[in-house]
Amino acid sequence: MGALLAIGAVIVLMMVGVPVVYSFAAMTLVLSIVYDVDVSSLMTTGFWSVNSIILLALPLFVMTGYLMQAGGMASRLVHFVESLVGKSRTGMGSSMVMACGVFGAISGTASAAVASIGTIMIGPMEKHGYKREYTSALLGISSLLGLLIPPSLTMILYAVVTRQSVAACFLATIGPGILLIIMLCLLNWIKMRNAPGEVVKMTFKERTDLISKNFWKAMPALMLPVIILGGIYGGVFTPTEAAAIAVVYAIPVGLFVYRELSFKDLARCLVSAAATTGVIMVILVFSFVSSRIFTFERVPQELTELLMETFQNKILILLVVNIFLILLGMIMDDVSVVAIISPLLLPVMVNIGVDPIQFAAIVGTSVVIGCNSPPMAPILFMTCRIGKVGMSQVMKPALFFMFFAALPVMLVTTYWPPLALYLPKLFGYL
Amino acid sequence: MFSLNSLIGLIDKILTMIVIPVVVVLSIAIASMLAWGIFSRSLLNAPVFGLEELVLISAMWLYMLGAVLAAKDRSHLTADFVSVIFKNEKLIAGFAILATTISIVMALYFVSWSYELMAWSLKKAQITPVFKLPWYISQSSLFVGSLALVFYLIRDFIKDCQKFINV
Amino acid sequence: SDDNHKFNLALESGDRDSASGKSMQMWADLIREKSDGRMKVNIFYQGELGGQQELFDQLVKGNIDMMLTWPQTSYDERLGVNYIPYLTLGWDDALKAYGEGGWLKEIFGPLYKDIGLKYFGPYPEGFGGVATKGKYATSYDQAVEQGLKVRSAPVFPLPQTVQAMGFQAVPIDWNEVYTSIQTGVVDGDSSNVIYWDYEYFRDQLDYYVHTKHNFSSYALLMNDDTWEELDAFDQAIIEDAAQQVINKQFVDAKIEDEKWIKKAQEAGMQYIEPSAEDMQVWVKKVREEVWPIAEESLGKEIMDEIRANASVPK
Ligand code: NA
Ligand code: NA
Repeated sequence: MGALLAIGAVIVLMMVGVPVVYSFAAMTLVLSIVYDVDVSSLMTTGFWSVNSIILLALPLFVMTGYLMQAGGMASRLVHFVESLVGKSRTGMGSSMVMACGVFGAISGTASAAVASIGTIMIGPMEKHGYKREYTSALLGISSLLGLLIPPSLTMILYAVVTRQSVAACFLATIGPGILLIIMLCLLNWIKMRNAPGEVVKMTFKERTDLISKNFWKAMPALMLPVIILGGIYGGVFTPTEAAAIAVVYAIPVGLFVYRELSFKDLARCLVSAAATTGVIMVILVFSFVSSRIFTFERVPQELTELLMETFQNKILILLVVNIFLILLGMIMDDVSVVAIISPLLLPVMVNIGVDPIQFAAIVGTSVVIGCNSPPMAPILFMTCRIGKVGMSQVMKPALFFMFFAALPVMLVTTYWPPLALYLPKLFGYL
Repeated sequence: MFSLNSLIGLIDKILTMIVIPVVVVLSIAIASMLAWGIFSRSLLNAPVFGLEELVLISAMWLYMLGAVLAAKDRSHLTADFVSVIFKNEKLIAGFAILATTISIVMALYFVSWSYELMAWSLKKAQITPVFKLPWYISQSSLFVGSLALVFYLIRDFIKDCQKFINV
Repeated sequence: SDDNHKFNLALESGDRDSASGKSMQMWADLIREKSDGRMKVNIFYQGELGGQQELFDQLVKGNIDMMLTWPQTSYDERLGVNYIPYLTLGWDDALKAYGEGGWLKEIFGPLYKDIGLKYFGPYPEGFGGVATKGKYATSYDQAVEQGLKVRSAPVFPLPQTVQAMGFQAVPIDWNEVYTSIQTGVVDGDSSNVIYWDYEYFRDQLDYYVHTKHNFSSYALLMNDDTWEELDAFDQAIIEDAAQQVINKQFVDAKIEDEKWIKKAQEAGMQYIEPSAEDMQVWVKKVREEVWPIAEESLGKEIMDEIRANASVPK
């Protein structure tokens, strides 16, 4: 009852326009009153929960995202992928999807991809017959590859709140990420193959020359995913250390190799990154405290019992959880969904025999939908801004991609465990 | 109203002048300390003990000061229901005042909860295992940060009221 | 007494099915039975309510009532007594020192009282060792030669001890140990009884060298204010129940440790006991290097007590 009241309070306050962080503070307040919690315990929990080396990967990957944007890595990567996939009409859309995928292997968030890839590609694609609202919608979904292809802030967060291995969670979303790339490219091909617009024709020689030229330009940027993922899975460092190395690598590359980063830009990047993380961290403080009160009052167990008694069937419960995640994704931001909801639902999942690592992937794929479904659609808002289109225009193509790409990926991830679990098993995490 | 606005402007200026350089230094310090740890462990074969104590103290301050910068720019994550549903400017401005008022109340609770934490750590003077640094160095960050959050919310409240009167 | 009480008890490590989980259930059951259901204990297992530092703070603040935990040295460094290496050299010595009326127990009680906790006694696990993958060391020279890196909890003076034994101590969060061993960031784990290395990392680790440099024991604690509010009758119920749990564990721990050694061997882990000579070198070296540093934080009084009582190597 207290839990319902608290979550209800969050939703109402967010509707009124109270920032997420204070809505969550209100949740903590309601819970502490309803359950008569000693106030001296609240920030003890808040402090120790975010005082974590594992969580430290989060700000560092955010920094990396800003640095690759300002330091010229992003544009080199996009041009390289573009030349690889080609400038055919359908190729442009696929380039955007793939560029988001490659970008995802460096950045931990979706917003960095929206800002840099959107700025570089949306204009040129319009010339080739892509409508701005279509491209913006495609970018909205594709950019979430940043959360599916490791490193991923969402997975770091999930791993911390559910006490799973970060490295294993990273691997769990690669399968769904690749599936999403395939689906998006396929849908783009279906939509764009007969569209009007000019097409660039290149000879094979011109093509290979362009690829090799752009490859060498992108080389220093392409080294970053090798360093990050190779470092983590090759046994040189932990995910947090990998994130630190990424920052330490990205700064000189931007300053001295690409020479697009001035010291002033560097400072601006670090300040923006700190502001982004700061918001997330204070939200996390209240999420952790609220979560702890839930645990203390045995709310997850009650929820598990309730769901088990009501539905009594694994498929049905999974479906309920899917719908629940999508609905919450509409009204809550990704950080809140992961931090509050995954610890509440994990006992249910374990009870019906779903591996916590698979649930990581399920949550990850639900976030792809959530970040693009209004009213709380931070990524779609951002693509609209970058693509200079209105929310009402972008909704139709956005729904198309969500319904035919993101949703199927979520369902396959939910009902076909190997998609998420094959890689973690292969690397010996299960 | 003018003098109040200029006072707020002054405090904002001073806060920014302190916070931005500190944030830049802390960010670089965290990344380089961690990188040094890896370097020292894998290449020099000399793992650095206690590094995570320094890193985490820096991180807590980075988080809280980062939140302050977000508050300064009013870039806290917010859902945009009201302006989607309503078209009446006065009504929207009214909702903004309501939202900011609720935020101030919540931020004040945050201040008082963080004060509890800081008071405890000052009283007990707990120390970290390796460098024996007192925990209040990092535990006070929540209190300091939350105070600055309240300051920026009060600024927002005044702005919201002015907007409400003017539309 | 006819007061009703509800206590929250947290375990820093160990789930429902672990030995410590079952022991805490026994404590809870005994308290409930002897009070005819007036006193109830609500148990939270490993990690449910947060990490060890958070839990310890909440215990001192009284937001958690009872706890089974490693002593935290953040409030009072002198609690580091628990981690002084090579204090006792065998089960018999350990029983005498930590058991009822033992010299170590006499040191602990007042220290805990000072930070606001009631100390019921130790909950021993056994002697720690060094578990590694691929290569191992049974002596100081071997450890140095092989350049073995092992994870060590950042609790004074455990890293210093492992270093003095010739290993490189690497600080890694417990949650990251598995990945770190798997990927080669470290070669293994140190200072734990074999149970933990078997239970969590058995598919990674090949060797367990029983160096016995630390006697691993938890403390059974209660918030002192909560304790003082109880009447003498209820206090006696809780204390007697705690004593039963502790006495049982002193018998069980050794059997339990042997059981896990056997299980680990069956799972393909090699269990190795260093020779008496190698042990002597280790004991001498560690005592010479680590004890003087320990004196800085524990104070002369406690160290004198330790020197007077510590086991003499044979
Ligand atoms: Na990523
Ligand atoms: Na949404």
